[in-house]
Amino acid sequence: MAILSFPVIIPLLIVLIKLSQNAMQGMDRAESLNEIVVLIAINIITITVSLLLFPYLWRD
Amino acid sequence: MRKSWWKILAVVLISLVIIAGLLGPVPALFLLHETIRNIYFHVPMWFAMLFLYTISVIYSIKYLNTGKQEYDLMAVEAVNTGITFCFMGLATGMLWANITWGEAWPNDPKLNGSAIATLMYLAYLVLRNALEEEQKRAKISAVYNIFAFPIMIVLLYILPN
Repeated sequence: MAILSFPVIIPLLIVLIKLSQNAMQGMDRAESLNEIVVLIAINIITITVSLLLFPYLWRD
Repeated sequence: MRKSWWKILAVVLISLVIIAGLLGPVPALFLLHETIRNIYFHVPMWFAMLFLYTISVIYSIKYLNTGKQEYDLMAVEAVNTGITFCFMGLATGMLWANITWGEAWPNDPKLNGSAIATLMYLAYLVLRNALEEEQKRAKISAVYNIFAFPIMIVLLYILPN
């Protein structure tokens, strides 16, 4: 069952890979601001949806 | 007959669109030429997919609220139809890319995002087949569906831009 969540976290992985690539190349932090915003947005969405949905899974 | 007038209307409209899309006048643009007619088919397919997935999420939420079996059924059938549109969109897109970009699947973030979104909804169908118990299956797949939808939006519309 847990393997099914892999495609769901791929966007997170893509953004993190891009971000760390930018960091490794020593680019300015301002240049990867776009990735940071997307990362924060994905995190907020994922955490809120998880918090909302977990009780439904847990009940049975 | 009275109740199915909108189905007949839909068939008539779709046939009109297909005929107009294949035969109507189009602007002659560099590189696109006649393939611009694909806009009539490719783009609405993705929109239809998005629309159906939205319907599916709404019914999943309704199912979690009420626990009625028919809402679960509506959600599944919406995803089934949506996946059909998704595959048709991928097929027309690949045909189009073959002509305008020179290869069927260039390594573009938007294309890979759409492939992952397709996989996500295929995983939804696999998840449904894996569970036997009806209530449990409906509940778990509704949760997965609601979880997958915002991620799909991010993948298709936010990441590539």
